[in-house]
Amino acid sequence: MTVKQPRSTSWELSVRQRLLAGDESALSEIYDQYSSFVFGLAARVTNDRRAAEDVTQEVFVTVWERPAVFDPERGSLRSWLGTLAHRRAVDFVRREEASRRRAQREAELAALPPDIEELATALALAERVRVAVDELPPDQQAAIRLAYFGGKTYRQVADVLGIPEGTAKSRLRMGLRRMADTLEREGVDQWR
Amino acid sequence: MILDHEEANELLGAWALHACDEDEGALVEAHVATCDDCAAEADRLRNAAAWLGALESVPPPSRLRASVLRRARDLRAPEMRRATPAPATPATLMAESVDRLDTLLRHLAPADWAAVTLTGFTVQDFVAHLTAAASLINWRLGLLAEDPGRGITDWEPRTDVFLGRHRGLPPAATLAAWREQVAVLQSFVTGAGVLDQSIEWQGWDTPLQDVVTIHGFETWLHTDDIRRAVDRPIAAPSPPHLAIMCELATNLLSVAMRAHGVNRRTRLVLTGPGGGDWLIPLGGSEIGPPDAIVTADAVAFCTLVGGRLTPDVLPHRVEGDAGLARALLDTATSFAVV
Repeated sequence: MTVKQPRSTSWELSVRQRLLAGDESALSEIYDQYSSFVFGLAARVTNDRRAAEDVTQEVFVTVWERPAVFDPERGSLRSWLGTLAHRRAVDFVRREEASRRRAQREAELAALPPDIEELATALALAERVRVAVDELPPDQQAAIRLAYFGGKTYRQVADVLGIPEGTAKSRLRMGLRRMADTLEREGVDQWR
Repeated sequence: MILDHEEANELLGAWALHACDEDEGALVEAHVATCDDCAAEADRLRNAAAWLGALESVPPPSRLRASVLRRARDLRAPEMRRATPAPATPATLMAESVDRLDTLLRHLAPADWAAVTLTGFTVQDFVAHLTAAASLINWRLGLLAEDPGRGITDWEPRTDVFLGRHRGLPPAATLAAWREQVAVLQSFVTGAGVLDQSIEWQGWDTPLQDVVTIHGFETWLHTDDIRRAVDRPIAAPSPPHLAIMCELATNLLSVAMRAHGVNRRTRLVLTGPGGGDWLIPLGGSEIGPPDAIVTADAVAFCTLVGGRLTPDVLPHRVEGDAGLARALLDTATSFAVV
């Protein structure tokens, strides 16, 4: 299997340099570029506005405190931020029983006014990612959605879907592989 | 407990989705650290997983921004408010233009790439056109094993080669091709002392620093063309870079006025940050008052030089010989190609 590494943009490299040098404006630039992505992801997984704010804060503070951890050779800045945010959001889900107030909070989120430029990017990206998800066989799709957005472990996924654990593991892996193929074919990493 | 390759590999999907139990996740990571194949797949799956988050973009409450920055500052004091700006050079001018265009392009929706600019080019056409320009410089500098423009150095046919290739390709391919060429050029021109050499440029032996300035200038101009086409606000270059552009424009203007046999002198006053004051043609030996004085905004003047304004609509003031002033402005518009 050939692995195509996304090329880092000069912006990503220079912003990392500036973070390392302690240049505060680099952090605000990253925040402005990616806060909707991070907050939206965290809000979707946690279903809790306060928790999503905490996750967002933690993610950007980590960026500031430990910029050297971002390795441009291994993925884009967006991907690193997404990983940090998802990890924290999942931790929250596993700590709390957030589902109780789910309905009420979903209504809250739906009422938020969108930022136009950010929305344009988000729509452009979301469209491509949605294609990649929609192309998955339904059983893989269901498993990935439960794990990623539901914050469930593969054992819980197996439980919910009534399938053996081994099958859950392989659906997650095959589904992600297939998504990676589609996204690479679509050139999504160009969009960062 | 240690996972063997098979066990760890099976778990990579769950691991990338943070769907392993705490202990199991640590075991997967321990294996990944020692296995190149799994490490490569782990990165790939984790990157794919991170894209799932792009499905749900929601702006956080605006108060959060200040609170994040405050918290960050508490935990690690900034070394400085801003990085000390490096001195402006043609290379930093080009880097600024390229970065701004890159940022704009990253924010475009797919449909925006087909938006038609005032020149008739689509957004994608312009990016292909800039790739034609950057790759020609790279080719002249001997930085490419093969010229993607098939050795065609005349402006329009070369652009046609790139338009022909990119029309019908996905925007991502055009973006990638442009990034590749500007990355090659940028890494070369940031080297010490390289800007002093000359290369053949549109039939002239031209200092590389002027070629790089022209490319930065052109990139800025087309970025604004694209912004207008997709309804984004236009933006001027930063003042130190605008100053470099004005310097080059007035130099070219001097040469062109001399070539037209004009020896009477015009004082050109460009106002605003990055502007300045020039006598054109430059270097005349006569001392005495100029025959005409033209005053205009520096950004507007560069827009005129780029062919995006005509002298009739350029806001400016003339004192002295109106005919001479007009000849200067007409000459200034004659440099633009696309």
